Amino acid sequence: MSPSPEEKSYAVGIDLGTTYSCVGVYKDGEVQIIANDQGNRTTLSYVAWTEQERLLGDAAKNQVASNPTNTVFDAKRLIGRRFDDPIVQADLKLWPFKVVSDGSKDDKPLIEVFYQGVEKRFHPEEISSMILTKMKQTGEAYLGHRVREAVITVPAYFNDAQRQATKDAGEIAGLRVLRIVNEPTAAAIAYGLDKSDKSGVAEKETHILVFDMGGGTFDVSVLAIQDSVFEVKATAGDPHLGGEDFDNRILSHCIADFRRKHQSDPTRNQRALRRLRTQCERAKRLLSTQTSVTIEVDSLHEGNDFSIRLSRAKFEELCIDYFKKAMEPVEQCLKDSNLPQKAITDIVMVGGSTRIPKVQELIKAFFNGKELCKSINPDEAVAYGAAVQAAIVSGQGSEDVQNMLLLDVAPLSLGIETAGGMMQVLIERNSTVPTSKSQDFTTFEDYQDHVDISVYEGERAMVKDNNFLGKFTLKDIPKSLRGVPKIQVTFTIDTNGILQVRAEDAKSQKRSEIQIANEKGRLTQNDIQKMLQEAEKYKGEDEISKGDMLAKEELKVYMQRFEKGIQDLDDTKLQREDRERLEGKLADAYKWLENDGLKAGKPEFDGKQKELQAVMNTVMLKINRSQTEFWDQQVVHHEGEKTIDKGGFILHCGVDIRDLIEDPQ
Amino acid sequence: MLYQLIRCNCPFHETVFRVNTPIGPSIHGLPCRKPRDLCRQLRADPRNEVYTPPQSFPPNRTNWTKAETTPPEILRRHYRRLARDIHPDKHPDNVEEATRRFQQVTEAYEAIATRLKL
Repeated sequence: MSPSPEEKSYAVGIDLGTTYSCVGVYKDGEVQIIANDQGNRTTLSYVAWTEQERLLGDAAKNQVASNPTNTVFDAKRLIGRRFDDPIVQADLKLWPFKVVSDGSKDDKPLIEVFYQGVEKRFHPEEISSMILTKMKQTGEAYLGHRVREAVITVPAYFNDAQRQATKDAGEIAGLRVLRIVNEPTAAAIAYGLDKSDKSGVAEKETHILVFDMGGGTFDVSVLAIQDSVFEVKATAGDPHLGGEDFDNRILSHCIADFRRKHQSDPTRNQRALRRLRTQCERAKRLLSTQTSVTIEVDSLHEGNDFSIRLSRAKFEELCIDYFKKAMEPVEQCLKDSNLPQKAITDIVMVGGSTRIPKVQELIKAFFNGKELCKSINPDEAVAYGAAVQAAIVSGQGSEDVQNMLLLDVAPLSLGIETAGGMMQVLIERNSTVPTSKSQDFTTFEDYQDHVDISVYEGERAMVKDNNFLGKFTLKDIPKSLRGVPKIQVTFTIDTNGILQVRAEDAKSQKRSEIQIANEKGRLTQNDIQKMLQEAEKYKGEDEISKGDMLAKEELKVYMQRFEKGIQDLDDTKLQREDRERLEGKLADAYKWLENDGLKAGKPEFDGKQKELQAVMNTVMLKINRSQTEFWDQQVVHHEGEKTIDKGGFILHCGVDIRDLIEDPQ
Repeated sequence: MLYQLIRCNCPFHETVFRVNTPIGPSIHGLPCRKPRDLCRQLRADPRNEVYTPPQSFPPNRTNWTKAETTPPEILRRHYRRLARDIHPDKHPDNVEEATRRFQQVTEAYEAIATRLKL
């Protein structure tokens, strides 16, 4: 076979959201947001395991009420966190699926599900990678080409570990992650392109504020746009604030009400909670356009129906502390960027939760009644921007796009622990990336031959208040009095916002680099390889189970036709013993389908169908030939053989015998 | 063979070009009031090379008097245009060198921005 010409491959942009994900691609000079196999432009970030198969996206959510413990969502709230993280512990109580610790010193969380009767455990990265695989397939189905490269977005306020973990998830999904982009920055590109279409290339400097409140995370960024350069001035946010938190508030309000009305507690009933949560989410959405809504669930718990009227005012009262909390990062961001309020020319609203009227009202009030920019689609803007960034980085796209540049920042200050548990900052927050900063340190004691270097991120003065990233040791420092050795510590942040730390002893040239990877519960390269193989296996399994399902359906259809066929034939044609034989076979097949059929695969189903066909054929042959004599049949058969005996190759039916017995030349 | 060394004298971008092309007096004689014009023009011509200065010549010394007299909006704009040219994203074939250059320029710009409270 001749080697295929270099396959065309596209780089896509994927918005990997807490509740919804979205994929876009830059093609033919514009961005296309790609609809999934259900026709939706956003896909739910859900993965479910049923008795037979693994479900992804919308299909997983549709069966959540009947299978709550094996339906996993919110992986983004677990990714890159430790099991003992208080945020994880708080979330645990609300999730119907089970999360356990892996028991190692890294204390990684694992999600536990039952699949085909076996207990299986997954890392949050694996769950995210399954969603990414789904998005990748969506892209491939639309483009008709392999998708190998992607830009994935993360909330701007994600820390180093969370970014690393997201990148790993991409790799497990078999994607080369070109770049990890901050969500508000991606949204700003969408805004910028939208604006430049209308008013030519913006030569003048404009400042915009992006307010990105999605399902699980919240970010604010201030950007300066000029000459198609998008410079992030400052960013702030809360990696755990979004629509799900509002759902939870409504949910607990409903549960309290149910308790009062029926004196029974539905909190242990996962199915009831799930059904109620779905209705709460619906109510929240409706309250963005309506002023009041009724939440109704029939037979919620112990046969009691539940119904409650929720007004918009009540909803706002329930969540007002969240809304107020969301204004703090806005203030912080303006302060960090050294800009007065009136310098902001536009406020861009991104993410589903920005549809809530109260949120809009509060931010409008903060900017003294300034109109908000709603011209871009809040659900798709991030994927749109990611697709543009994918085109920029991979060198596809038009000249306009090639001219664009994103200058992003590191969201948190990074530093090391010095004497007394103080934080010595090397890279300040809101530094433009890529960046690299060095500082000299020295030993604390005489004849010290090694130093431990602990890396932290955060804004507080003491390291104990900040987030620990990792620790490493520089060994074999030449012995000397304290204060003499010169140890240069270098922090490097790459364009993905991922940190690398290096320490070097100036005298001995000894070097040591941190592998935050291993220290901070990050997956090692080995882990990733293993998961990649597992994911491949799953992919195979998915396809197999898809084939199994099809074969099973075909068999069922055939059996129905078979049954009908027997009924249609009257006794004059079909002899009694034949009828009994057929019916017996059919009954056997039904029994087989109920028992063994649950575990059977495509070959078994196909085999069973063939078996039935064979029985049917012999009987049908008999019926059709019932007028002719038995011996006539034998002669016909014989004559067929005779043709071959005479040296001919063509059978009566016109088939060339050589096709059947000889290898093709 | 002698080359003319032209040093772009904008505040945070002291690249020295080894100029292999004739430069008209209009550019040559001008003080760097619109620094990007000179930088861009020099960079645009592939025949010119960026001159790697000997050790005695600090590669990225900030010219403070120049910085203080330049209007901030010009500084910002020049920085962004420069960033667009030298950012590692635009040089996928030579990421390391581009990253180093970009970091130098950004460091200088941030120093200026902090000092001048831009």
